[in-house]
Amino acid sequence: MTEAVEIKPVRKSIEVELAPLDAFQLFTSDMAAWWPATHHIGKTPFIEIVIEPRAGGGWFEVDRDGTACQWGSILAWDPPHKVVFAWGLQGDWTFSPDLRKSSEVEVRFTPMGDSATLVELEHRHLERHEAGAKIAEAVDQGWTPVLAAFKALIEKK
Amino acid sequence: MANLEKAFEALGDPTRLAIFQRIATRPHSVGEIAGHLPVSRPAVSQHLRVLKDAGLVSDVKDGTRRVYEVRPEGIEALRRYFDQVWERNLKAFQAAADKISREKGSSDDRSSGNKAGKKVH
Repeated sequence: MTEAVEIKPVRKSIEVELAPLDAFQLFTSDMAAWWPATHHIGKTPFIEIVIEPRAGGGWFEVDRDGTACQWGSILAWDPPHKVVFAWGLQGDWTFSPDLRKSSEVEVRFTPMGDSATLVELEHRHLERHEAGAKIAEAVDQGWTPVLAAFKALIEKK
Repeated sequence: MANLEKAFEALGDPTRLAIFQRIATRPHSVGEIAGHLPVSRPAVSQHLRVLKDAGLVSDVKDGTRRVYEVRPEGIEALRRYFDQVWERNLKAFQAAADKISREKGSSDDRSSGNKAGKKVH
């Protein structure tokens, strides 16, 4: 598969008034406490978001009707510094276990003084998703003014 | 979000994908596309309307004919979607963290009562 056109990663950062380990735990072991309830893929709302605390572990929602819907997996598990998820949800909200079709979400926790943490998130390799790849492929058919415009647009951000 | 789903859907059709890929190489008119693909002009127009609704292409008038070109903003749809998701979700995370921090702060009052230096912004 061609990855000639890369979609620039989404990067966000925030500061929280928690020590890194507390922030890490809230992010990973208590995700359902803060993840917006509107964001789920099961037929019924989720009651739990499970992150298996190890590299290779699963990342999935458990819904009110008892079904589990997988979102991705854990690529790196390094508390309280870093966690990397594979985001396996595709454009039609089905899960693909294929890491070549999964984007990556890296979250880093850096101490800021005694009891605050800088949380930095990077969602990268978006072009690996089927829709992203299709678009990238389509644009890659020739070096055109469109591609130049696209590159200019993503480099501007 | 709505736009992104539309974009996925629009490119899910092989004929539309072929049309989109053709337009990506350079702007095309309806007639040019119909001339290159085994699709009638009305069908091409229909497909173009779907691509346009999804924000993937736009049309400009070129004399008497209408020419379709790819919108760079459409290509950015996926990234824009995740940008919005994380903007909202990280704010929700921050709010939850603040709540825990406040609860901790009030239970620590007895021992120190000192929250100086904790403020961020």
